[in-house]
Amino acid sequence: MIDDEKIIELFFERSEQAIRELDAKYGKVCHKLSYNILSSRQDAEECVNDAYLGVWNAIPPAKPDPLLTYLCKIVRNISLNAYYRKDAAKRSSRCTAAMEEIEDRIASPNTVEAEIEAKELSRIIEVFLDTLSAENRVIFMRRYWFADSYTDIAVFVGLSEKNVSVRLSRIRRKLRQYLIEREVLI
Amino acid sequence: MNARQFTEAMSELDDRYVTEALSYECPHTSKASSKKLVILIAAIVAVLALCGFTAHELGLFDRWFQKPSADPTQTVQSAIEGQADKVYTICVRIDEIKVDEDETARVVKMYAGSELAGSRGWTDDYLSEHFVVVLAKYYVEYDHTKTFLDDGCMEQYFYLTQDARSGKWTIVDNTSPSTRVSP
Repeated sequence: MIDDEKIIELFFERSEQAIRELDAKYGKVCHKLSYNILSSRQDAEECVNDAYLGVWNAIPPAKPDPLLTYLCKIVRNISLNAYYRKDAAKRSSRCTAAMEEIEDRIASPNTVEAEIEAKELSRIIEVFLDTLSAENRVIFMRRYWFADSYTDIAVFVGLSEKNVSVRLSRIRRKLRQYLIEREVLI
Repeated sequence: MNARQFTEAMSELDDRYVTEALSYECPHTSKASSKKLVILIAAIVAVLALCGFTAHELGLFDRWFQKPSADPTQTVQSAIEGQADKVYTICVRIDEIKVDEDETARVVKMYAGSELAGSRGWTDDYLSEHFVVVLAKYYVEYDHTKTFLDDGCMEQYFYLTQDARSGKWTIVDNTSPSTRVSP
């Protein structure tokens, strides 16, 4: 498997081989991420292909490093857009489950967050993430960014599913407290 | 705040959090794998030990529960009597045990200078003085739910060598028992 620099060179050369190499190297990760959000192989396939097209259009001039992070962000954004385009009744995926469990903690009738921009909220979340251990941060990201199942996370971090569940529960509680302290939630 | 706002905020996170979650190398994996490996090895050892114990109980390691003796016929007698201790033996009765001089001479001649004798460290001199063949005639009954061995009146040759220091004879080989006409 060729390295990222070579793949980016192929994009710069406008070689279609770039897409093939990108898919060979990162296709599995992208499909999983998209499938976690959409819970449909066909929809995930379409989103990943759209993401490849997005990368094709962006490189050049972009020269992303690391390439996988860049690709995953595109896949996630496209997949989330597709997810929100679906009727609410048809949304049923790991992403839905992850959203529901986080909503239990962050939903509040008295909030000031309506005025908070997504970017501002993300900066607050970043500061919160920095308070976590690397392991807990990865668990949190795998659940709420990648929409991984508890089982997948357990395998990924080498912990039991129960342990992952307990840790996520504590992190959500801690996040709620953090958001209250920052007056995001009242 | 709702989940969608949270998800959108997550989309705005710095790349380093995504990269970290993508490239995280689990510190538990090796420990967990090692633990699983240790458990697997322990399980295999336990199974082997159980098999070994069972095999020992069934007398599969030492076909003959022999007691080396200065008299080769006594050694053979102890071995045949030892069959009675095996779980698949119902009864054993010894009819006759004797050193078979003719068979001894024949086997010594066969072994002399052979590769097999060489591999066992048996010189021609050693064979001529420390090797005998004992013929045993006995009656045995086995529990055929536990063994496939034939029972009845048996005739069997035992090959014994003598330890030069202790003078005791030990069975080193034997022919398959052949059924004989009951006396």
